Amino acid sequence: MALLAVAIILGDKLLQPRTPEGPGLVALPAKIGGPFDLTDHRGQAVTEADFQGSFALLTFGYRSCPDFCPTNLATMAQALDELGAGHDRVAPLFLTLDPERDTAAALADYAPLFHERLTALTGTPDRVAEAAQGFRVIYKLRKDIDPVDYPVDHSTYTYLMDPDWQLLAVFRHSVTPERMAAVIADYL
Amino acid sequence: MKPLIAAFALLVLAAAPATAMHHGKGLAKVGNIKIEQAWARATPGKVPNGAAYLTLSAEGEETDRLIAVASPVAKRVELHTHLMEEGVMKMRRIKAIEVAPGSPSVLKPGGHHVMLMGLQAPLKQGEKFPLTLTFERAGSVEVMVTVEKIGATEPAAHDHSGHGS
Repeated sequence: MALLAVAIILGDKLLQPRTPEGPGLVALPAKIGGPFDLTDHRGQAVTEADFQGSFALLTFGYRSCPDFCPTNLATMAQALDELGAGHDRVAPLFLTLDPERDTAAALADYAPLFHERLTALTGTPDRVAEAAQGFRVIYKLRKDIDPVDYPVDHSTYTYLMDPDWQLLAVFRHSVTPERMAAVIADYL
Repeated sequence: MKPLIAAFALLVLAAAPATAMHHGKGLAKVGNIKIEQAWARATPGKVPNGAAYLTLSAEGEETDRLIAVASPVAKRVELHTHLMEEGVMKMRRIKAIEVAPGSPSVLKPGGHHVMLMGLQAPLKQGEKFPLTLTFERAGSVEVMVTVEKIGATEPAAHDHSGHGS
C-alpha cells in the first residue's frame, strides 16, 4: 500500500500539467498564476478580476532597470503590434517588484511609453509580494549592495493568461516578438 | 618654406605617442583598441538609470582592460553585467572588461553594459552624448554615443528587421 501511495504521489507530480515547451517558451506548472490586489499607474485599485474575459500578458520588473525590463516590455509591445486585429483582446501588464521607488505617478511616466495599453501595477510591499508569490516570481531588493540605488534581482519570464486567469504559456526573456505573437495568436 | 613646414609636421606626427582619435559615429581609437558602435537606449520618462553599449576590439598582441567609464550625462557611470542564476537575473557591477586580440568584447542588452546612474536628463532618441573610456594600457578616449529608441536591441544602423535575437 505504501508503494502505491508513493507511486500515486510521484505520478501526480510527474503528470502535473505544464505549460508548453518550445522556442522562447519555458514549461512551468500550469497552476502557477494567482490573484492580485494592486494599484494601476492611474491610481485605480485593480485586481485580476478586472481582466476577466480578456487574455493578459504580464511581466514583473522595476523602473530603475535599464536593460532587462525595457527589453521585456519592448518585446511585449512589439508582439502586440504583430498580432494586428487580435491585439486588443490581450491586456499587457507590468507589475513592479519595487513599489517604494515605483509609485503610481512614477509608473504613469513609464508604462505608456512602451505601449499605450500597457498597465503598470504597484501597491504595498505586502501586496506586491503576494502577487509575485502567486507567479512564483523570485525577487530580492539588494539594498545590501546600495541602500538607495539598489538593483533588484528577479526572474524574467512573461506570462500569458487566458480570460479566466489560467496560465497558458510562459515566455523566456530571450523570446522574439514574432515568436511571442505567433504563440499568442494560436490561442486567440 | 612650405616643404620644410610639411616635413616638420610629418616628423611631429611620426614622433607622437599613440593618439586617441574620436570620430562622430560611435567610433574611436586609442592605442591598439578600437571602439565601435557606441549606442544607448532612450530612457522612458524620468527613470534614473540608462544603459550604453559598444564593441571593443584589440589589434596586435596585447590584451587590455576597460577599467573606467565617465560621462557628463549621469552622476555615476559604472560597468555592469547580468548574471542569470536559475532563471533569476542579477545585475552586478564589474571592475573591468577585458579586450583580447581576436576576441572582441561586445557590450549588448542582456550582457555587459555601461550603467548610467542618476541621469541629469532623459536620454532622447537621436541625441548623442560623450562617454570617456579608460583602458589600463591604452589610456583614455572619448566616444560619442548615439541614442536609439526605448527598448532597442541593437543600434539602428545595423537593424535587421525580422531577425530577432
